[in-house]
Amino acid sequence: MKFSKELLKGSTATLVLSILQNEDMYGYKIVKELDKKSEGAFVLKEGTLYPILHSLEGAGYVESYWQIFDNRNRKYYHITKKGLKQLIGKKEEWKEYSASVNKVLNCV
Amino acid sequence: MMKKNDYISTVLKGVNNESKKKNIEAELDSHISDSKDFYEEIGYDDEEAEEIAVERMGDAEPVAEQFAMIHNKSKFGTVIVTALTFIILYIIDLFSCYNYYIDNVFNNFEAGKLCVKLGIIILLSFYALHKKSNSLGLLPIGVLCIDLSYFQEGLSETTILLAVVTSIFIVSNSLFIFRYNYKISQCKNSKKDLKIKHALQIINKIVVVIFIGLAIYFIATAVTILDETAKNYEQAMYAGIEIEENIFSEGIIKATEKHEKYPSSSTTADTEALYNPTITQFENIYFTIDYSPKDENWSEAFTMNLSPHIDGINYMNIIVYSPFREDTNMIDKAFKNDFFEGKNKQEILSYLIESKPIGLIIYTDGSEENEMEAVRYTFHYKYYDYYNINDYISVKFDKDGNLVDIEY
Repeated sequence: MKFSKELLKGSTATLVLSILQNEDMYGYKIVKELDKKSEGAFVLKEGTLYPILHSLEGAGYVESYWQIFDNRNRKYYHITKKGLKQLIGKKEEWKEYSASVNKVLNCV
Repeated sequence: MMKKNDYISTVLKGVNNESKKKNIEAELDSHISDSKDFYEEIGYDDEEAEEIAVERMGDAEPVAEQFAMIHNKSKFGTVIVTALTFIILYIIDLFSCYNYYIDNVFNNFEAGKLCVKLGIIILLSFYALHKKSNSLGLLPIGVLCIDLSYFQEGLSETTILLAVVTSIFIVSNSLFIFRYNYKISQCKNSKKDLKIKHALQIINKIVVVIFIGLAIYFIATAVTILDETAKNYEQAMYAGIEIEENIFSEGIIKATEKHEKYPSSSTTADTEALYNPTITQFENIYFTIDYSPKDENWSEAFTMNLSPHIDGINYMNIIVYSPFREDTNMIDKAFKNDFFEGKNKQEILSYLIESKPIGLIIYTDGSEENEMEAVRYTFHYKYYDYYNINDYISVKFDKDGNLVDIEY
């Protein structure tokens, strides 16, 4: 099942932080990982990932470094402590939000 | 269909910063190349693979708008805030030690010190502009430490050392950040650089804590010094007024003729000490003024204020003013700071003999050793140079009050 753009819009940054919490990754790998972990449900227009990553970097949630692998220079992203805190907060927020949505939906 | 280069150039068109452009270009190029490799691996030819890879990137226009929004933010606010911080600190610094700076920086204009200070502030301003996060919080505290250290420089070697350490820390920190940012602009910042940055951030945090402690200590010390200064200043002023009022009085003439102690009206022990108890004759009254034993800078400020009629001129004139107070021509010369100008040793000696000096202020560094030396030279008119205690003018009299020699 694929979700609408509107549903994805507000949560992509959190999903990216979640992907990065265990491992430093570059953009292309993040897209693939998102695709894999969501079993094809979250398919981004790949270009839209980069403004999100740059915003996260500007906010101090991630930081970046360059590393050459297979003769290709890739920009890796690393989640910061501030980013981890943000992720935990967003997870909590999501749990409460989805529980509330479920309650309303189940009542109907 | 759009090609990779077209896609990238469309995305970049809204970004103004060249360094950011280079980074985004390298990142998107790498992504599209990875994607293209994947489609080539599953059987597409080169051209088809690139087309699919670019298509999967989506519409370039909204991405361009997003990037423009993120990377074209104005730094005007940061510049204003930083500049104001420095200006306010500098003004506070100036007014919190009014006498010191007004007398020494503006009247006498210690250009070198002022330039060094302004240089540090300019350097810090560049640093602040270059790095808006992480270490920026250090700057006001760093400036404050440097300011307070300069303010206290005559008092403690520790504070000078701290000022140097602070400066070295900020400069080395700045150098790393400049190098780091250069590497980022060249897409060459590595994981190792990131680790160094993390280590530096931890050190910065520790330093911030230390600096806050030191700043509090410096402020507390400065307040104490200013308080003491005010008291000493007041005392010296009263002493000066008293001397001015009584030096020509019949009382002092009679007292000195009888070899009696100068009749001071002050009740404090410190003020008593201002007047030398070994006055032997009217011509050789001298005053030792020990109002700032620890700091020559403050001593200078007091002296200036003690004798308002000689503001802005040097000690040489202070010495000769008192003897020649009735000589308006010499007073004019004293004000013009050219009292001895054009006079040779014999002429100065002759003038001193003719003028029969009645007063002399002896300046010492306040140390017991030099005070004792001053006392020993009861018949010497002695001047210690402010900057070099070994340079002085000594006017020697014999026990009958005859001027016998003058030494520079």
